[in-house]
Amino acid sequence: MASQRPSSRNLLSLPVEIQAEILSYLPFEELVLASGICKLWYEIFNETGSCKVAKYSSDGIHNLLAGYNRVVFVIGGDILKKCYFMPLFAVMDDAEMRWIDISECKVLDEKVLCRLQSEHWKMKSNFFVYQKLEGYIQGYGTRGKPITVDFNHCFTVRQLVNHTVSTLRKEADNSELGSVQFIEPQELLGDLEVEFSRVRIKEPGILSTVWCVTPVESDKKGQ
Amino acid sequence: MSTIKLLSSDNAELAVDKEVAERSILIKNMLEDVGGDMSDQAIPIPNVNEAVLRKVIEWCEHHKSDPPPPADEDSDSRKKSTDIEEWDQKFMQVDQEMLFEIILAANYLDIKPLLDVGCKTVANMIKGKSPEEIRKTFNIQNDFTPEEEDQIRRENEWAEE
Repeated sequence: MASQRPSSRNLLSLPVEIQAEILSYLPFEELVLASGICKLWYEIFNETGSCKVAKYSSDGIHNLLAGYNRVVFVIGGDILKKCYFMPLFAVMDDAEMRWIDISECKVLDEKVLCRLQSEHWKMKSNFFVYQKLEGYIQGYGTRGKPITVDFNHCFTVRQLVNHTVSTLRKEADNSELGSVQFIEPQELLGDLEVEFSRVRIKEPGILSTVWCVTPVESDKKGQ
Repeated sequence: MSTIKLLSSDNAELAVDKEVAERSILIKNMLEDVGGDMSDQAIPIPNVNEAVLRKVIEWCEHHKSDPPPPADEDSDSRKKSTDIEEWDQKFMQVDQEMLFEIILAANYLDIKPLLDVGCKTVANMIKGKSPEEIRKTFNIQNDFTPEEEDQIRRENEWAEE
């Protein structure tokens, strides 16, 4: 009676809890990668991801932020209120499935930033902040000109985000620079959602990480 | 030392030291329920066939005097190591089907340390592989739609150098 499944026992035929258990042994970045293997694992990752992520140490968040994933920070006033993470393989239609709330993740306050060059503190390489000029986003536009943010006093992700936002605002106030213009500055009084995503460019001798900071339409992350 | 008998799903009777069999919490509880005396009657293990049951017993034999696993559920899951002791590594050098059967049996029989070893073994097989290699290794179909795939590729462009 019990041996009616004699052969072709495979990984996906194991109970989902066991598959989740197996995946939980993976380092975070590999877990993210594994979530792109098939839909079931994607679902497992999304079901367990948000609670698991809170358990990961600074390695996890470091890789998360350095990896090819999107992290959205919701800023209220000058305070980082929420942090969402969308894994690389977030391909489901359901917007709510895509974002994983890591606001409770204590690694936001762990010292994960390290110093690579004297003039800037950085994660793995240079940070710049771009403002994209498209859609309503241009209201915050830097006219495509990169702003270099000095991260000298940022050690944690929370500090990094707060500092980035306040730098953006200062640039905006400094209108004579002409590099940043807030067409509707009052929007900043509410929650500003900032999306950090990453492109890599090669500079002489260094592979830089460029962070695009763009406001995100709030309906994009569901909830 | 008392011996008990286990009856596999394919009706093989296996004699096992009680102490060894009690690595299985399921069996341990069962024996407690009946007052410990099962010397004349085989305990049916309907979900596990003989080959798998023998493997599981082999593991239990080797680990019969292990201290009970620490009960700290959460604190220890924080940093999960996939280190596996040498004997267990060798023990787990079986084909995938047997590996998964052992995992299922450990789950059913409630032998947590064996389940852990099994899960770690699979995790180690996943580690360091590309998605394509993982799919190949475990014969997993990529069931994302072309559109979803396309999105993956677009997301991936960030990563291209």
